[in-house]
Amino acid sequence: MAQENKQNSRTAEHLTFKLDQFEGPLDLLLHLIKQNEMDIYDIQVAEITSQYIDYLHQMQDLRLDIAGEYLVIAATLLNIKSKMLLPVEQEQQVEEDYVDPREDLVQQLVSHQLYQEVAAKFHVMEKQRMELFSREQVVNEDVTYEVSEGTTIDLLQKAFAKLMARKQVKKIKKIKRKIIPERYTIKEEIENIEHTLKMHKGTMNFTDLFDFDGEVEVEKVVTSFLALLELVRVGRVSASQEENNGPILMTYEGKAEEDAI
Amino acid sequence: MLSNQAKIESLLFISGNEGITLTELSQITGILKPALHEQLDKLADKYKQDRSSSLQLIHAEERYKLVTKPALAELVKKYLNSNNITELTGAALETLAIIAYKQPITRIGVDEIRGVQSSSMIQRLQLLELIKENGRLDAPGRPILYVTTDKFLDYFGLESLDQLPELDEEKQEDEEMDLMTLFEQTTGSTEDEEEE
Repeated sequence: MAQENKQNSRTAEHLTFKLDQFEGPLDLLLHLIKQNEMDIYDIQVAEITSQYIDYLHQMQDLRLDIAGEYLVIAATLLNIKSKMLLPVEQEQQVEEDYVDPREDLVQQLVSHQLYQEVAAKFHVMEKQRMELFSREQVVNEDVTYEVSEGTTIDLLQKAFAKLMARKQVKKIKKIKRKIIPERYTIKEEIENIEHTLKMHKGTMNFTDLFDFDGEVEVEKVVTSFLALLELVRVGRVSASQEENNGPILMTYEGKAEEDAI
Repeated sequence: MLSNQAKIESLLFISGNEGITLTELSQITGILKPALHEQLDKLADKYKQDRSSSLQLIHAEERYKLVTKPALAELVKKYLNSNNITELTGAALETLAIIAYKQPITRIGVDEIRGVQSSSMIQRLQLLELIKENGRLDAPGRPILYVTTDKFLDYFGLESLDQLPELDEEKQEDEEMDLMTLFEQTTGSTEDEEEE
């Protein structure tokens, strides 16, 4: 057992070393063919298939994800193997249109090999080209600034001073911030509303309720409205409307059990 | 008055690694293309003959560029002090080779030869501007066709696609002929396998 494990780990090492060399299943297949010193045009399918599948199993043992492409080629190999095991009928043998079941795969391997070889040449060309160096393009500024005639240092200084002054102003503006204290509170407004309603015998039109004397700040209106909502919520004031878009009547219901804020 | 050659040289110098096209040269200098060709050839020759000149004129299609002579590479590298020159991976080179020889070609066409999915590789090569899309194949799904760019030529130091190394297809054809005779022998090899 121990010996077997040892052997396994050795093949595993061998594999990890090899694996990054393979670009895909065709690459692996070519590697196996070369290793077995086979003629690419006369692949011993049975032998190659078992070696190929062994590789896939070892990849599995290494918990590597086997890409689907590897499985496709495995299936192709098995398909070819089974076809080649079938006896060829005499008539078919003589017929010219007999096709070697390996043909498609061989063609694929041959052209793959062809481009692999030429890719090596590309690599040499790439390296040679990298020996030639050029400079960065001179950056072409779209806008050119020209100083008009008669410009003196004085003018530039003044312009600079102006610029700084403007910056100063901006800075000051930034610092200024108003802090306005809350001038109206909901509590006060509640008292106001209750007082006004009582003055009008407990019932008032909604719009009349907000018909303040003279100029009114938004803050007052908003606070007042919030106060009214609060009153409605606790049931001290009720709102009713007899018809759509008609006037809303606000009625004072007196003190409820729950206190408004 | 400066010579036309000096004018051309100045523009080549300024354009640097971007290079400059014949059309641009013609528009800026007002020299017609045939005369430009002549001057560029002369300039290239001048650099070549002059052993005290460090420069060399190269071009990919119609884009010309000034570079240092290859013999100076070691010296330049010593100055640049950079060992981290990134080269293309084997897979990228193979994909490029397929596209270069088979262009215009679809992604599926590349996949078939490589036996693996090439979409991400094609995307990478497109980002590197070594290949570009060039229309679509008139077939179901109208797949995109890919071709190599002038930048591809420059990257490999090629002047045009004619300079691609010869693809050994003749050898392939010969071997295809061999295949024919092999077909006839197939029965023999099947018997061998049956014995196993």
